[in-house]
Amino acid sequence: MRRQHADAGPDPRRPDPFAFPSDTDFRFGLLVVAVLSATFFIYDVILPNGALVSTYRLCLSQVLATNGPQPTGSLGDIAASGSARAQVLNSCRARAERSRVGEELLALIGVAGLAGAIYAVLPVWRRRRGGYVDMVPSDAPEVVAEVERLADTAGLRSRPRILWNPLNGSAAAIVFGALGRYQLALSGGLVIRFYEDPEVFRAVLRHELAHIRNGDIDKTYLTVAVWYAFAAGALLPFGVSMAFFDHSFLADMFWRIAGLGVVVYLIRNSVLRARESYADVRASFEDGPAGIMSRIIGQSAVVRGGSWRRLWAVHPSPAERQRTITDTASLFRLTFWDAGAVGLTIGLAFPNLELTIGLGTLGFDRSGGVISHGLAALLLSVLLVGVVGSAVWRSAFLSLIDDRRRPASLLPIALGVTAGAVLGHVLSFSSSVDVLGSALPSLARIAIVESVWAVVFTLGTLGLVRWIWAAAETWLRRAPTARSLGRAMTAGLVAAMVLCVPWIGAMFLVRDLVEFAANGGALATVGIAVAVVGLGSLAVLATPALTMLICVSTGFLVAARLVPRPAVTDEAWRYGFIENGPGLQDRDGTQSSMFRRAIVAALIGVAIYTVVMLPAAASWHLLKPRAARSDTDVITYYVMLVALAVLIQGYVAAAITGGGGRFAGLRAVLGALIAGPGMSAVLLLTNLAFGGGLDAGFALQTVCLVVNGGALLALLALPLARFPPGRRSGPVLQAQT
Amino acid sequence: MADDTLHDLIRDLSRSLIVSVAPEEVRLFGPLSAAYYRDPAAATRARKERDEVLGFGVEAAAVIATPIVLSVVTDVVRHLTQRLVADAGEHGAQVAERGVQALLQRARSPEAVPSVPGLTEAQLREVRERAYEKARELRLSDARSALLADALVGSLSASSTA
Repeated sequence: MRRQHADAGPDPRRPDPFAFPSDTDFRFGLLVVAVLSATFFIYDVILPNGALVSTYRLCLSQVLATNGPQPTGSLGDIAASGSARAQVLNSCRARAERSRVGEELLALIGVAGLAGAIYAVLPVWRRRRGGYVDMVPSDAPEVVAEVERLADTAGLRSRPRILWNPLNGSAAAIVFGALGRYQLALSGGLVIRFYEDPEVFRAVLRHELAHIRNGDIDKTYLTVAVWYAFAAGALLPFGVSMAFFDHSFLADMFWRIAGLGVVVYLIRNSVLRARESYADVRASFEDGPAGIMSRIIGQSAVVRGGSWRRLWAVHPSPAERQRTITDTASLFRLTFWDAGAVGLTIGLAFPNLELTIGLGTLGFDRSGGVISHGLAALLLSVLLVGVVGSAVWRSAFLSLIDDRRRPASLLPIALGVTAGAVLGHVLSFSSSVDVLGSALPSLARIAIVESVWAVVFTLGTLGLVRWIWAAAETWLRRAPTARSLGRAMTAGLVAAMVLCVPWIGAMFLVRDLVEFAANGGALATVGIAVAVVGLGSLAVLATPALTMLICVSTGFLVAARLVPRPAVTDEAWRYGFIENGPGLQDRDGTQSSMFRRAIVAALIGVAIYTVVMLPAAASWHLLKPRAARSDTDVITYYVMLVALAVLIQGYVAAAITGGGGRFAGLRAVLGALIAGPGMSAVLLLTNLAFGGGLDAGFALQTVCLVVNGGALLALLALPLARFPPGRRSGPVLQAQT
Repeated sequence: MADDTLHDLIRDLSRSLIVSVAPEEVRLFGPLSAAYYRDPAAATRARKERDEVLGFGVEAAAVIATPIVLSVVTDVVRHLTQRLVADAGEHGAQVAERGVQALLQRARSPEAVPSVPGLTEAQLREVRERAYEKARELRLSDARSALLADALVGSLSASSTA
């Protein structure tokens, strides 16, 4: 029964972005992965490949001379022959491929080393270029004392070294340094401002000290160093290759590499801009959203030239910064462009990573590429969930404390990731090499493959993001303290990674299949793609791994319901706000009946299955004696019983879900998870009752088929369901009255 | 020794001028003048505004007056010395230098050096014009350049008429 609530407004306090783990580390990870992938690509293009080509020629002659089983026309023979020849080819080329990967890894290590060296030298260069000298207390004793006081107030572990350039008239400050040794440099103009307008001086200092407190310096200067190293260690060698060597295909590569350079630079700048907003907000802690911080940002230098020019700037526009201080909500959301950067890195890096790991382990990896595929998916899942997942958690918190902030749809995020992934893949190494050739013109082929893939990718991403949202919304309501939030968020993001690894792996597998199918022409591509996705889905239905994933995804959400509702205290959820005020209380009690409804509906489903299935099974056993049954009869009978169970679970899910509503997907899958094992038991016991056996493997396969099939059927419509499920009458988490 | 004395006198005169031209810099005159003498060219070099990583500041760069005043006074003193040398003939250099030092000392403390020959009207006009142009060249605003030139002439003429 739904409780009645007073329709109170949202909390006027500003949400505290520092209450949640920052996504900067993951964004920096994205940059590093993008740079490494692009570097790998560039060195693969420019390194001499004469030795590799010779090896391939030699290996080809060995393959042709192989006395393996000669194909006689049967599929089995052809497969055996192909396998033997592939083994000979792989063994022959393994050493050369590993050597090549070794050279490329050396190049990567070189670029990484260059980045480290630049990072170490940057503070020295920055100090020299700025003309900074140490500020001794006798220079300006009041200023030194004030800086030390502000540093202590900012909660820094150690005070920064104070530098200044007395002859620089601008009223500005900057922080730099490396490995915890930070330096705060002031201009002469700012020091003069201390005596004229100390509030302005303090505001500028608070912003700079906030950078130190937020841990920005190392990340920022590493970001800068990584970019310079990429430019000098990868882009420059490519340019030299273009100028001096006769690589006929270098010109074809130019646009891809130019695109990579732009992409890396834009990711770098987005990392840098994000840190400024966080520093502004922390600097405004003391005097609030309408204080001096907001005022002086209005006086700060404006990057002229419109939005295009601002894309290249390392600071957000003053108007944007003022808006963020006044309303910190923008730090709780993920934009289409942020999601696009994530997708782009994934699309770019996955093929390169898979290829590198695959070639590096050639001759050792007997998994047929599963290890390289899985490792690439694992690494990129960490980044995707780190950036997108943490943003979704923050956004979910915002919607819980202010229902008006709930996004109209999560589709822009899914579309952003997809658009980025498609673009990244087009720029990647694998897209530049058309090994198989195609009946289609290159552009038409790209358009068809990318379109088909984009549809599948968008639906998959939307499902994943919605799951993360549901997990966040569920667990945030059970996390009234900063400590419980940290635990819940860590567990939620780890669970999301568990789901994300097979998802990313599956998406790129689908892509490979679609690309393969594209060799047959436009219509065949779509047809084969649909067939491949359909058959692939059927193949994975019987795997226990899928059952495990469904259990993880559902179990994690259900587990939150087992945690008691937090007590009403003064401290509850106060961590989520910058300003002090009362604690919050969870005023929504709509989920108390969720378990009961799911269990009842599932039991009804099992009963319906029993009533329908028993007469059918009895008739079949009576009409078709054991001796008269062919293998096809038995398989058809088995498939029909499983299909019946899956369909009834779909009905159960629809009955539980009703017209949608909150946690519709969770309720649907929960119903399937309860009904599935029940129906499997009925099926197996009926088989036993009519004289069949009960093999453990058969039982496991049956349970997997029924549970997986039912859960997937229940989830099938979820990405298309309405989001949000309807406006609430007010925030779920509301200030205590 | 003579150079050190001249240097000190220029500093002292500049400090007294800063009080009227840029009073907000008086407290920082010591380190600002030290920075000027470390690299006089840097004091007058134009700076390009950059979108610095992790940097933050308000409004466009202002001009710090202290190094400009030091530069203007130094230039004027050098010019005066050259003019007096030209007028004094043999042994003129030493005489001229002593004369200028005496002028500057009187500007600092009129009681200390009561009888020093003063600058003529024409010379004072020339000093004003030169100081104003030099200050403008170093990007000091028109009003402050005029203020500096007037204050400098005032100091030197006060010493002349004492």
